[in-house]
Amino acid sequence: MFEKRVWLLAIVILATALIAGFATAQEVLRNPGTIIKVDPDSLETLDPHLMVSTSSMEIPNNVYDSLLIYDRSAAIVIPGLATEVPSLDNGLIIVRATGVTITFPIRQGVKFHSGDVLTPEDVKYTFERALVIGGTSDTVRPLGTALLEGSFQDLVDRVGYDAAFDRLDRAIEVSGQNVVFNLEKPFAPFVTLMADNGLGLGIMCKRWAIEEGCWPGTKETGQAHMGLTVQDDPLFDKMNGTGPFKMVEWVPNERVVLKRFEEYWRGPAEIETVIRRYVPDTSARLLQLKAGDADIVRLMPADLAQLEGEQGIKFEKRIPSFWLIKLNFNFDIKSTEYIGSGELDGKGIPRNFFTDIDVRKAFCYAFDQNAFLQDVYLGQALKPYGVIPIGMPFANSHNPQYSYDPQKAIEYFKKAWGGQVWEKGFRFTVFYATGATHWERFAEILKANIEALNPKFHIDTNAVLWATMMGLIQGGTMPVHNFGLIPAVPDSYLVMEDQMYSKGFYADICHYQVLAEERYDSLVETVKESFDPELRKEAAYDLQRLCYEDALALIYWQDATTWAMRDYVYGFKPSLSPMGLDYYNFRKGSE
Amino acid sequence: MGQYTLRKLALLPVTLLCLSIIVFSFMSFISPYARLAVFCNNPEALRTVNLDVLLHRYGLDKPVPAQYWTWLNRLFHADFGWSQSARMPVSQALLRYGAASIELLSLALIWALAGSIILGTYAAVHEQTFSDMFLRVASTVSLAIPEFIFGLVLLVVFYSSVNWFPPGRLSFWALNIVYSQGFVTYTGLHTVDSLLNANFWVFLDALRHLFLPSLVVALGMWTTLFRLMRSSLLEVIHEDYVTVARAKGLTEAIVIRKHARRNALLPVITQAGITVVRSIGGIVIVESVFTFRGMGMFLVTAATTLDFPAILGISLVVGAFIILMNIVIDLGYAILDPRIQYK
Repeated sequence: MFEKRVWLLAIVILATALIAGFATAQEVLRNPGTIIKVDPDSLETLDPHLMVSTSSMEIPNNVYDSLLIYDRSAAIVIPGLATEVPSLDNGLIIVRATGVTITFPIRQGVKFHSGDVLTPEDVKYTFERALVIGGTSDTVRPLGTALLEGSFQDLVDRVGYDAAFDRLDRAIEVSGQNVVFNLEKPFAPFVTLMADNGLGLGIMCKRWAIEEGCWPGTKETGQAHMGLTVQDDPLFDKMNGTGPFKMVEWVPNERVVLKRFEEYWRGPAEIETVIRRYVPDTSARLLQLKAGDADIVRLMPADLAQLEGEQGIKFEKRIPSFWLIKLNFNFDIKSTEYIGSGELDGKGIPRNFFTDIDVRKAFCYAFDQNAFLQDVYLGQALKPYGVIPIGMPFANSHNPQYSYDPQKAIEYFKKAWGGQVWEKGFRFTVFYATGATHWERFAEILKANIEALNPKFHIDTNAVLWATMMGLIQGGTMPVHNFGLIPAVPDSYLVMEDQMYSKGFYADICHYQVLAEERYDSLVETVKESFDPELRKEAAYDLQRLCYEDALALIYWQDATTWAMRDYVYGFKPSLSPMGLDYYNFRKGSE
Repeated sequence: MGQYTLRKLALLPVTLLCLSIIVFSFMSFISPYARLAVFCNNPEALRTVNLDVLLHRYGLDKPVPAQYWTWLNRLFHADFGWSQSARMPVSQALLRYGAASIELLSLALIWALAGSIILGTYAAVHEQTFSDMFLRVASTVSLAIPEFIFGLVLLVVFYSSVNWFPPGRLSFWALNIVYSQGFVTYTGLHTVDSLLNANFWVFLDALRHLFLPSLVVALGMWTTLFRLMRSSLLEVIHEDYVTVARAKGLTEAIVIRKHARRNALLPVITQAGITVVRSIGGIVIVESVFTFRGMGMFLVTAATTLDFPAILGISLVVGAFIILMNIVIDLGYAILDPRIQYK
């Protein structure tokens, strides 16, 4: 009886498998006109103004166009929806004592995916909307800095809604076929900002957006649309740009389908369809690439070994992104929760432990950067020159750098806090986000390196959820933070503002505003306001040197992306978005 | 029986209300900034957004009771809120991912029950033979194999090598059909919907994608059920009424199938219900390995990003599911054993 049933079960399984196997024949997956990317991240929204995840920005990058284009290969800005790149030489940038005007002549005959024709009014509407709704995208913040010296909400808080809107309205004007930006203060990165390749400031169709229920574009209605939430956003699941691909379908946490836009102003893309599938599991992504169900995958260094030597797979390795990871020293730790006793007694550290430059230098010398890059990143990441990422204008390859030197680390630890650090020792906690293996390995290497110098030195490591970590960063209670930012566009001012400006991000969370104000602010302002490239370069070089001299942070790793793709995929070009692809040049088939 | 069921069902909203208060009260222990992580899932977001503005925008700066009241008000209008981790309203996410998990768990339960009843019966009837020992060792071994290892091995063999059973819920071509305008989604269960749409190829494709993950989930369920079935049957076959049945001259097969197994099934049915409920947490790994987005992955993403509307929604649905499962188990008991009556 039992044997009969087992045989029956086996036959059923076999039959199912065979039928299922035949079902494969039905597949039309290997469509030569389709590029399939599998990605560990899902999109958060389709509204580029509310998009904060770098990975998501790949989609607006391909659906929207910006006024200018940043050519990553040549590292230059070229015309986009604007027909010329504004400069002092061509008279499109005019610097006056009262401010700066920057004019963008708008290309004619460009069509949106909806069929509407691009007008300068669309450009004005796009930028005004981004600011009025309180856009959270990476590029909206510098746009606000340039036009309003802060966010629209801040301006409203300062001068009231009416005055704020009037100022915004004056800041962006339409003059014939031109859009004129009136900046009250010079903002040299503005031209590069307009070349974000649609990541956050791609131009959207005003008529379509209003029809979909967005802000109608008038002063009277603006206040009701301020502080827009993702769930109330009419453009949460819609896109309409002038880019090479149009949005066809978005199934959240599942897939995105883009189709070629035949009327694209630069000519239609080679590939007809782009599908991005959300596959959070690394092994599953790699298996899908091996099986040919996926065409391209972004790899973590450890993944490379699993694919190298596989037939039919090729790679684009070590493409530098502008993502710089560093250990940030907190100059004023807001509680003693993670610093033991809170005293320099061998059982903790004082809250201002990192104000001593010798402590910071000692940490910079104590960490074995090469071991990290080789062991954890298997040589696939870069050792940065300094605070400006490699590949970005003004990155100084001759800037002095810290390298692993235990003797020098001991020397500085002996000098720190009048010799008390060496004599009494210390203890504190280094946090890393759960699941971020590279941060975990960093913490382990740092712990090993530091504790090897003196048996009285102790570092505890602790994994916390990103949500918890965010609360700790905001609360200022962590003695050190280990993370990095990706600048919105490749302009060194944006890096310098984040890293070294007294009103910048890191100065705020690491509490070194006083030091920044004394030593860096005037130089940062030069990089921000000067339209003279030589002057900007000089200031940027000085800032990189000062960052080294002051050991402001332990800058140890610059991300470099490696892509694995099927060998019949061609046309890969590095994109402005480190985690995304620019599909315009892709093609499938023979070379 | 009817009254009993109604009484149990009437308690459902009260239980769920209590559950929602408990889950909501956890929020008071978590920093509002940490709760913003679901909107700022990377460090860049910390720079671009003003967290205080965001707190106000999403109402997280209000006292917890006020937030609860707002949530409850919305719930009365059938609005579970917005899940930022799922990028859609919670109710929509629950329907979508719930359907996927129901499909997966149902098939896994069929595998597990069929396997454990057939093999458990065989092992009990052939007690202390080689087959019995082999099956018991096999059940121990299958318990020891981590689900993600088993899942990965299956993927490597049946997907990477022969491409029989790919990951995901459907193939690309099937997804194109399912998301096309001509395909009507009735239940969210691809197997059922494809049959209702009379598309046999999509049905086969859905089965093909369900096969491996359901096998892995079933493996986790099978061990307990098999052992329970075996021990329960061993106990029953030594009871007097079974001896009487044998004495009446019935064949061993009829004695086992019609007299002994029916009673031995009682604890197995109870345990099966509990196993299914427990598996909701356990299917996370399987869903992740097979890129099979269901409730497990939804729950984990919501929990790790502190997506409270989603956590609340899932808690309520899982709570309701557990209560309903218990009622079903109780009713199943009564059907299997007419001596049991509920008052």
